Amino acid sequence: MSIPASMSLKTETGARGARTVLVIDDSETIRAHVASILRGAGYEVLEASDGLMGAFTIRERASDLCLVICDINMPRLDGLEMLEVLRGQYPKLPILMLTTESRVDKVERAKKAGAKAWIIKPFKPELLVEAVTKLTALPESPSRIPSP
Amino acid sequence: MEDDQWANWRFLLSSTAIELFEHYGVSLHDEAHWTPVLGEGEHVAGSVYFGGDRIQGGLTVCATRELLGRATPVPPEVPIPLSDFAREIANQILGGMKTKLIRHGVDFSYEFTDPAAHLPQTAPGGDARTLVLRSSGGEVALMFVVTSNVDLARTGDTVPPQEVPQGPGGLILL
Repeated sequence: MSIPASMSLKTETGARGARTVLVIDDSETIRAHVASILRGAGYEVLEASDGLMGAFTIRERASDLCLVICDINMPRLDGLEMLEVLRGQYPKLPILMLTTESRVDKVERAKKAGAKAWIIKPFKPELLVEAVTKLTALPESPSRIPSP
Repeated sequence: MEDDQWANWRFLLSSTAIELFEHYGVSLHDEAHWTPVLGEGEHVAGSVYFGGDRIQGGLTVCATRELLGRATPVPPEVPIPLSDFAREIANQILGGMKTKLIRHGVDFSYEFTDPAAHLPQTAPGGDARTLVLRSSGGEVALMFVVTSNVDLARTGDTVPPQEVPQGPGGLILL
């Protein structure tokens, strides 16, 4: 599935100093839960309810984002499909998968598409903050996410 | 489905749901009966469907607003439809069951519409049971519909691990 480039403004990614996290999940509860935790830790939060909206938001707001947190099982475009659509385009933007899925083959697929970390739901708030802190502190390197 | 098969499904569903609600601060007890009876109160439900080569069906979680409101991780000042939380609970229970079923060589995907709607009319329909787990502050009904030829008692843990070793809440750096 391709995202029409004409529908969005593609920008540079992962600006230094950005403190905005995009949370992509079809559950309003999970989005609100994650947003509440991260706002409490000093981050700004954007939300998207499926992979398609997530991809649009990344293309339009990439320069503001320091991290994307993404579910897998979502309608319209799932999280793995979204990663594969965007693969290689935003090498400085770390992606954390937050999902009920635990299959090794799916973890490997996400890694190949550029994901940097994986948490299986349910999760503890302190673990999420630890993961976000680690991922947003990683040194920027274009080689961290493979090119298509 | 025969009663002895239902006993295996029942254990899988019950143990996974109890573990999950424990994470959200609600202690549930399995009182050893499938029962359609729910206590009084205003109830909320959420459903998730699933489908795979050897299994398909749906899971509906139904509980009182009071119990779900107590379990929800979202701050009270943030208005969230409790039906969404009920659906997310169903999603996470299925996720936990899926992890255990993978060890039996059974896998399925989440579906956003009822997979049975796309089957030929000659296909066997799903069996349904309702499991009620009780806590001091209310009850949770798990309405489980499943069509499956999997015999959980026979398959055992015969399949090499297909899942990551970290359980729920574990952080995996890739």
